[in-house]
Amino acid sequence: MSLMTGEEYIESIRKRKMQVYLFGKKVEDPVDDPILRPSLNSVRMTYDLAQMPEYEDLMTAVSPYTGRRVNRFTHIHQSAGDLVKKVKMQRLLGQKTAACFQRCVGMDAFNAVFSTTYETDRKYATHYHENFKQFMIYCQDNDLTVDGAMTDPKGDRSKAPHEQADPDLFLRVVERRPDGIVVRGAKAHQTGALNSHEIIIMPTISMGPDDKDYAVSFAVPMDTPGIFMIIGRQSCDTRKREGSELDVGNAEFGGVEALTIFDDVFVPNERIFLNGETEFAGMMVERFAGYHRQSYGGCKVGVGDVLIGAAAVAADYNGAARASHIKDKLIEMTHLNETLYCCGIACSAEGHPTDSGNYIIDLLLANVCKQNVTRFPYEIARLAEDIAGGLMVTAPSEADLRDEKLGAYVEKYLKGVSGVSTENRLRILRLIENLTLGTAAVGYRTESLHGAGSPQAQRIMIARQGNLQHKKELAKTIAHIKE
Amino acid sequence: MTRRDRTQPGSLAEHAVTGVRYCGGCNPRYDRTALVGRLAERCPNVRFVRAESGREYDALLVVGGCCACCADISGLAGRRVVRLRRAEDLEEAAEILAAL
Repeated sequence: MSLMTGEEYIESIRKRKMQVYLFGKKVEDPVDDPILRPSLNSVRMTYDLAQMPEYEDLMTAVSPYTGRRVNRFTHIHQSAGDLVKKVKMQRLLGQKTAACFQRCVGMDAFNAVFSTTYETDRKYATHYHENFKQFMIYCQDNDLTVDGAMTDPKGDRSKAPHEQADPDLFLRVVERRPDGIVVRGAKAHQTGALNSHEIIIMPTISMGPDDKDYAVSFAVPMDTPGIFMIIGRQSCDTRKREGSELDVGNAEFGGVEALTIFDDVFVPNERIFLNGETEFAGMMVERFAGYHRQSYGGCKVGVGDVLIGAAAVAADYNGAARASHIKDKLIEMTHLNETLYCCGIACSAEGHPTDSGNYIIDLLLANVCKQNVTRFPYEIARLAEDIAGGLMVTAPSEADLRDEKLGAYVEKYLKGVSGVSTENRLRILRLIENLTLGTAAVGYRTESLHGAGSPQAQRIMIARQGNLQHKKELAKTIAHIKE
Repeated sequence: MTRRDRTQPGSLAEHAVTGVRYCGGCNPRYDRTALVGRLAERCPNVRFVRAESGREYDALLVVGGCCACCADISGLAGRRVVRLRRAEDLEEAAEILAAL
C-alpha cells in the first residue's frame, strides 16, 4: 500500500473496533463523536500534508529497508539531517493544527526501540531487533499510526515496580506461554492511543533485577481484546457538544488523552521487543525520552506560532497594535518561541549514529530543549492573555451574538476597530482562550510541563550530561591553578 | 538545444517541462505555492509538474520558503536548476524559464 490519504486514514480507524469510554459510557462511534473527532482530524493532517508536493519534503522519507516512500512518522532516522527534518515537520504540523497531532510518540518509540533491541540482541542473542524490524516495515508499508506508550500510573513514587502495594501499577507480564506473554497494567496520558492503529509499550523507568516482569516492550493492535481506553476530561470539553463553532475556538483540531488499560492482553512472541532484560529498560527510556524532548522543540513551536499570530491579530482588532509595549510583547513571544526551535534544531544537528545505525539526538541539548519548553509556553501564554485583554474570558457566547434581542447589544458594545466585525474579534479571542486555558491548554501548557518527562527528569539528565569536570578544568587552566 | 522531456508520453510537445520540488514549508517567509502560481502565469510556455526521480526536466525549480532552501533534490535532475528562496527571486526565475 502507498501512503494513505486523510480520508483513507479516517476510514481505517473506523474499522478498528476499539473500546472507548467517555463520561462513564461506552462510545459506540468514536470517529464521529463531537468531543473526540477534532483529535482524529489532527492526526489526519499528518496524512493530508504527506500527499501535497509543497510539504512532502518534510512529511515523507524513503525507507532504507524497502526503498519505498513512507510517511516520516514511520521513518528510522538515517542522518542528522533526518533529525532536523523531523523537528521542522513537527513545527509545520503545529502550525496547521494548533494542537497535538499525536503521531510523534510512535516515531520516537520506533527509533528508541530500534536501537535498544539491537543492543539487547547483541548481549543476549535474542530476536527482538528482527521482531521490531518486521513490525516497523509492516507499519511503513501500511502507513499506520502508532502510539508510543511509556507512562505507567506508578503508584507510590518512592517504591520500585515490584515493591508497589498493587503489583499492576506498572504494566507487567503476568503469564509466560510458549507462544507469547500475557500482560496487565495501564498506561496514562495517552494522547494518540484513540487514533492509532497500533500501540508500542515501553517501560517507564530504569529497573533492577527484581523488576524482571516489568521490563517489557511490545506492540499490539489497538483493538486487541483486553485493551480499553477511558478518555480524560479537559477544560471546556463539553462546549464541543453545544454545536457552536465560535465558542470552541478551534473547531476542527484538538487532542484528547486516554487512560489505556491492559486487562490481561496476549502478546505473540513475534511482537515482543523486551522481556525481562532489566538493564535495557533504562536505555529504552532514556532514548525515547531524548527523542521526545527533541520533539517538543518542534510541535510546541508550531502551536506557539499560531498563538503569537492570534495575539497579534487581537492587538490589531483592539486597536492596540501600534502601542510600543504591545510590539515589545510580540517580540518577546517570538524570541521565546524561536529559542525553543533553536534547541530542537541544535540537538538534531548534533545527532550521531547509535550502534544499530539509526541516528539519535544530542541528549544534553534535547534535555535543555525540553527544560525550556517547561517554561516558555507559559510565558508566551501569559503575554497572549495580556495582549488579548479580559474579554477573552468574559465574552458572551455565540448564542448571545446570534440572539434576536441580545445580538445587537453584543455587536455594539464588543466592537473593536472599525472595519472588523465583532464576530471576528470574538473568534480570535476564543482561539486564544482555547490555547491558554481551554481544551488545547492541555497540550500547550501542562503537557509542555510534564509531557516527555517532568522538569526534574530533565535536570537529572542535564546534570549527568553537563560535563562539569571539563568546565572546572577550563577554569583552573585560565586561573593558573596547579593541584 | 534538445528538449528530451517534451517527446515523452504525457508531456506537451510545445511546452518546456519544469519539475518542481518544494521544501517542506516549516516556516516560510512567503506563500510558496502562490509564487509558483505567479511564475506559471509569467511562463505560459512552461509546464510545471511535480519533480520525480528518474527523469531529466528542462528545468528543476527548487522552491524554498526561506534562504536555507533545504529541499532534498537528491535523485532529481534538470538541465537548469532554478531556485526560489524569496518573493524577489520571481523575476529572475521567470526570465530563465521563459527562455527555455
